[in-house]
Amino acid sequence: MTLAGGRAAAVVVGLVLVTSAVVPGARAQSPAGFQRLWYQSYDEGVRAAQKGDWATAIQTLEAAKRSGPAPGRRVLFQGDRVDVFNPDYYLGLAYNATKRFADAEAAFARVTTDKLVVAGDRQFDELRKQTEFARYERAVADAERALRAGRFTEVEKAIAPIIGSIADDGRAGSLAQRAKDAVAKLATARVDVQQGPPASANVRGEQPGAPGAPAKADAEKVAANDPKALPPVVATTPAQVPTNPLNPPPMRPYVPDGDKNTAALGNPVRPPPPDNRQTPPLNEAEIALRGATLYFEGNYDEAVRVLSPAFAVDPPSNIVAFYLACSHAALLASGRTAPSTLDEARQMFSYARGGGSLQRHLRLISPRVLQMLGESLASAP
Amino acid sequence: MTAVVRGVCAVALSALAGAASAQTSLQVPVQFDFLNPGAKSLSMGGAFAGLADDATATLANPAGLIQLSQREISIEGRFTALNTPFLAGGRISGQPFNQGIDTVTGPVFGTSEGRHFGPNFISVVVPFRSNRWVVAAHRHELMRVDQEFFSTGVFQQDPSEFTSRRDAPQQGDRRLSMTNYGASVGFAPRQGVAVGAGLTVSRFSIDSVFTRYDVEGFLGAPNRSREVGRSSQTGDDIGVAPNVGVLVGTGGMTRLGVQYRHGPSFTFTTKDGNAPEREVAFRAPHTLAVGVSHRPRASILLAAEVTRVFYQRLENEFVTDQARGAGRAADFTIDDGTEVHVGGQYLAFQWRWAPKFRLGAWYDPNHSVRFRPSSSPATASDRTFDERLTTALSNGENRVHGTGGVGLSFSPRIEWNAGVDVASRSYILSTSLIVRVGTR
Repeated sequence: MTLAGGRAAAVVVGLVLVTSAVVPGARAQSPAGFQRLWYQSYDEGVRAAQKGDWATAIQTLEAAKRSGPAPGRRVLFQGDRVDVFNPDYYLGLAYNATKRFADAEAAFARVTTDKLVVAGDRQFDELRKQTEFARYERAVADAERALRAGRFTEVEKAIAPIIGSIADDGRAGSLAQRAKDAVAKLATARVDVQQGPPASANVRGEQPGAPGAPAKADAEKVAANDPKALPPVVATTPAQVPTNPLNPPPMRPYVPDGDKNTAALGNPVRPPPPDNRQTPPLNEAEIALRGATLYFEGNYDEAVRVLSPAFAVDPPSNIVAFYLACSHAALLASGRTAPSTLDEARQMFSYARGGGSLQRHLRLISPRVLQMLGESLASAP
Repeated sequence: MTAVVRGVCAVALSALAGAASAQTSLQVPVQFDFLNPGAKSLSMGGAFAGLADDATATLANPAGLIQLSQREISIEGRFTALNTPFLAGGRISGQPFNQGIDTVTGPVFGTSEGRHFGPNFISVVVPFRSNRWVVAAHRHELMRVDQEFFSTGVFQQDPSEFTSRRDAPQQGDRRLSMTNYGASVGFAPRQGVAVGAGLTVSRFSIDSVFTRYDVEGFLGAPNRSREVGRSSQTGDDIGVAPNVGVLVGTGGMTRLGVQYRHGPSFTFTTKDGNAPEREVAFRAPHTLAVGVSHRPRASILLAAEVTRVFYQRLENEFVTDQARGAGRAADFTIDDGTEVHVGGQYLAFQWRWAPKFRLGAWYDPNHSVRFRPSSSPATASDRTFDERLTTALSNGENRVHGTGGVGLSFSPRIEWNAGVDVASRSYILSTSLIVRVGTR
C-alpha cells in the first residue's frame, strides 16, 4: 500500500472508531417505541440464548414468533439470507433454564412436529436431551404438586412415564417413595385420629370459657369456613402467653410473608378472605387428619392455618395440638416464622403429650422438630 | 510534383504537431462507469438503491445497512474488459495517395482494450445490538482505466487546399484509478424507515503520457525514435466526500430508496511540452439515485432504479484543460446522464443451496467526451480540426447492458454470487463471497 493509500485507510479506521464512540446508546437495548424486524429479534434471541441471557432470549424470540413467518428450515430472512427459523428450539432452551418446563416441553414438541430439527442435524442430540429434561422436570413438578395436595395416586401417574428417563436423577423415585411414605403415615395418623381425642375430663372441667377460647359453636362455624365465627385475633407476645398450657390463647394465624417483615409479626392479622366455595364442614378428626397430611407434605403454613381454629376448641384435641406444635416448630426450623412462637409451640406440645399416648405419631416426626419442642430424644420412640 | 506535395504536406504536419499534442488525449475517448459494487447488484442490472440489502449498501445506499442483523464480511473480485475505439489512421477527407500508409479511404478505428482484475470491493458490517445502528467499512475500486493506443496519424484534405494534412502519429498511455476507503452508518429513526450516511476517502491516481512522433516522409510510417511532442497528466491525491441515503419500507414488501453520493475532487499536474506545469482538477461525478424494490412473494424480487450521474463535473478542467492548447476548450463537453436500471431475482427455496437466478438490464447514456464546435470554422486548419475531432469522438453511444447471475447459499454463513454485465463494447465478470459471523 502506498503512503497515500495508507493515509486513506488510516482516516477510515479513525472514522469508524469515532462513529462507534459517538453513536449514542448504540449498544443499548432498543428503546421503547422501536421494534426490531422479526429476524433481528430472532438473531438477538439466539445470541442471548447462546450467552445464557434467558430473559432477553424469551422476550426477543417470542417477539420474533409473533411478527415473523411460520418457522421453517428454509426461510428468507433478509436479502439473500436463507436460514433456519426455529424460535421454538431456543425458546425451549430458555424455558428449561427458567424452569418453565411445560412451556419448554410444548416448544420442543413443535420443533419435532414441524421437523425443524431432524436426525443428522447438529442440534438433534441436544434437542432430545432438552426435550427429555423438560418432560422429566415437568413430570416431577406435577408429581410434587400432587404430593403437596395429598393426591398421592396422581404422583405415581405423573412419574410413571419418566421412570428410566435419560434425565432421571433419582428424584422421580424419591417422589414415588415419598408418596408411599406419606400414604403410610396418613394411614397411621388416620387410625389414631379415628380413635378419638385422649381422655381429658379434667382439662374440660378446669378451664371452661377461658378468655380467648371460642365457644364450641364458634369452632363448628370455623370448621364450616365461616370467617365471621373466628374469634378476634389478639396480638400476643411471649410474656402474654398464659403459663397454663391447658388454657392457651389462640395462636396468631401464620402469615406466609410475615417473616419478611418482622414488624408485622406482632400486629393483628386479618384472616384470609372467605372461600365462597361450598365445602362441607370438617369435624375435629377430619381437621386433625387434614393438618397431619399437610404437615407430612411439608406444607406447614397450611397445616397451621387448618389446625389453629381447631385448637381453639375447648378442649382441643391432643392430636390437633401435636401437629400444630410440630408445624410451628417446622416453620421455625425453616426460618419462616419468628422465634417467639417456639414457646407457644412447646406449650401446645406439652399439652398434647399430656393428653395420651402419641408413640405412633412421635415415630413419624423429625428428631430435630421434637428436639425443638423440648422432647427428650432419649425418651422418643 | 509528388516531391512538392510531400514538402508542403510535411510543413503542414510540422506546424500542426505542436498544437495537436495539446488535445491528443481527447482524441481517445475516456469513458468509465460508476457502477455499484457487488455481484448481486451487477447481475440485477445495478438496481440496488431501493434494495440495498447486503454489505454493498455502504455505497449503494447506506440506509440499507439497517437491514443487516449479523456481522458480515464481503469480498468481490471483478474482471472488467472495456474496448474503447479510437481514431488510429486512414484518411478522413481527400483522396489517398496510395503510397506509404496513405492507402485507405475513410477513417480507421483501432481498439484500446482495457483489462483489469482485482478485489473490487471488500467490506465489514457490524450491527449494534439495538438493531437501530449498523456501521460498515469498505474498500472499493471505483474506477480503473487502463488504455494504450497508437495512431499512425490520419490524413485530411480541406477542400480549399490542394495539399493534404496529416495528424502527427501518437502513442498514448492513460492510467486512471480511484480507490475508495469508506465508513458509513445506518440508523432506523422509526419503524420501517432507515437513513444512512457515509464518508469516503478516495485515493485518485493518474499517470497518462501522450507522445507525438515524427514520420518517415509525409506518407511514410511513424518514426518512434523521434519525438516531436509530449504531454503528461500525473498525480496522486486524496479527496473526501459524503454519501447519504434513505430507505422507506424496511421489513416490508415494497421499499423505496434514495441515495446521493457526492463526487470527490482531486488535483493533478499537467505538463504540455515545454509549457509550465499546471495544477488541474479532476472532479468525480455526483450521483443521485432513486430506486424501488418489490417482493410480491418471498421467491420473487423485482427492482428498478433511476440514476442521474453528473458527468458534467468532469468537463470543467479535466476535459477543457486537454483542449486548452488548441484554444477550443469550449467545444468539448460531457453530458450528464440518466441511467435506468431494472432487475429481478427468482429464489428457488427448496433446491439445494437455495439458488438465486438473476436477470437485469440497464440503459447507459452516452457520456463520452463530445466535440461540438461552437462556431463555423473560418480557416482550413479549423475545419480539419473539427473534422478530425468530430470523427474521433463519434463513437460515443447510448448502450443497453444485459446482466445476469446466480447466487448460492452454501450455508447460512456462506453465500456466493456471480454476475455478468455485457454491453456492445464491454463486459464485466464479478464474483463475491459473503461470510456471516455469529450465525448459528
